[in-house]
Amino acid sequence: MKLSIVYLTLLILTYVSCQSAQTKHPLPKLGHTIIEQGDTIYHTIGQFNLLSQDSVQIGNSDLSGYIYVSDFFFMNCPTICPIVMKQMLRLYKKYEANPSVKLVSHTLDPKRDTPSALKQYANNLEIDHTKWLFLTGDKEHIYDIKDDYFIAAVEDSEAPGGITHSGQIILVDKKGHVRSFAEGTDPMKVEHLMEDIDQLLKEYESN
Amino acid sequence: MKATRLKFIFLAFVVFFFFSCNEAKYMQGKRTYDMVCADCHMEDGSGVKNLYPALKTINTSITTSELACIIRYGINKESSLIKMPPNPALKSVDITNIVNYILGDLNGSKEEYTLNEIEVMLEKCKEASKEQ
Ligand code: HEC
Repeated sequence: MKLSIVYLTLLILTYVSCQSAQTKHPLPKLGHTIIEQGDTIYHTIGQFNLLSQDSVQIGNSDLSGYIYVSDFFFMNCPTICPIVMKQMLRLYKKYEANPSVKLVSHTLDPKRDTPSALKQYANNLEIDHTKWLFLTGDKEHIYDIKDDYFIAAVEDSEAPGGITHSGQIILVDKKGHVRSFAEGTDPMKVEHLMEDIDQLLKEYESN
Repeated sequence: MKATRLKFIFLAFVVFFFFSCNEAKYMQGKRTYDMVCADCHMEDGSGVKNLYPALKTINTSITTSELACIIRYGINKESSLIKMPPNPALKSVDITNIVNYILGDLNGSKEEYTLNEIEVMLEKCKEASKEQ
């Protein structure tokens, strides 16, 4: 008799915990939110126009309808960039077969990182150039865009490679809202980011 | 009772030391490697595809003297997409430790190089770099 109560409690507990896992809260929309005449306006990635490694112009419309992870780097960066790139490669491999997901890496050193240099770089990573975009363009424009991704970067002649910057990987949804981010140098944090990506994909599936 | 407790503590120590010794044979080399090489070639030597070559499988691809010279002088070839920076601040002792760590711990090689041997190799590539 007693034993059956224990079993029953266990069963209920398992059931309840499964339920709460299913009804996870949706990922927040990060950044400054404005409420205007009853409408909620979320932070959105601003207008941009850049060149890909294939010298193709890429703007917001090319990424709307996709969820994407984004980072900022430069080819001659001797410190955190290779480690972050390795994590981006991990994300690439995990979502390689999912057509809803793209990766977007922006260079902070457009003078040296021209489309053809970035093309070689991407070739050496052995990736699909339409799934993983490497973007370059006007320097001031890129440094403006980085603010929308909450990335800090400054030129600093004392720093190794000449630029100090942060190495976050940012998750952007199909409408250009920032939904999550991770420290790109920390494989555990990137693991959590993958969970968030999976959750965001599920949100779109169930809608 | 007391005796078994002591035995247990002794055993725990043995196990602990066994595992801590097992970590890396060349700790000094590992420390320097983690500081000056791991950002690009990764802590485990796995590299990043063809951008930053893996160093845990170099047993056969380059000679030990090439390895020592690359550590000191870097790589700055015409064909290099990304250059590897030189390490003028590393002393021959540090380079010997890194070489032994890469070959011994990352590649599982049994060979071990002495400071003397590495210094001879470094002297040779110093002359070679002068000739150019
Ligand atoms: C700033 C990034 C960077 C750092 C730091 C760095 N390397 Fe490299 N390394 C490279 C790149 C890039 C190459 C490939 C260059 C080429 O072949 O054009 C390379 C190539 C090599 C090679 C040749 C591998 C092969 O198979 O041909 C060796 C060996 C090597 N590095 C060892 C080291 C060691 C040891 C350290 C630390 C003392 C180190 N590297 C630090 C970027 C780096």
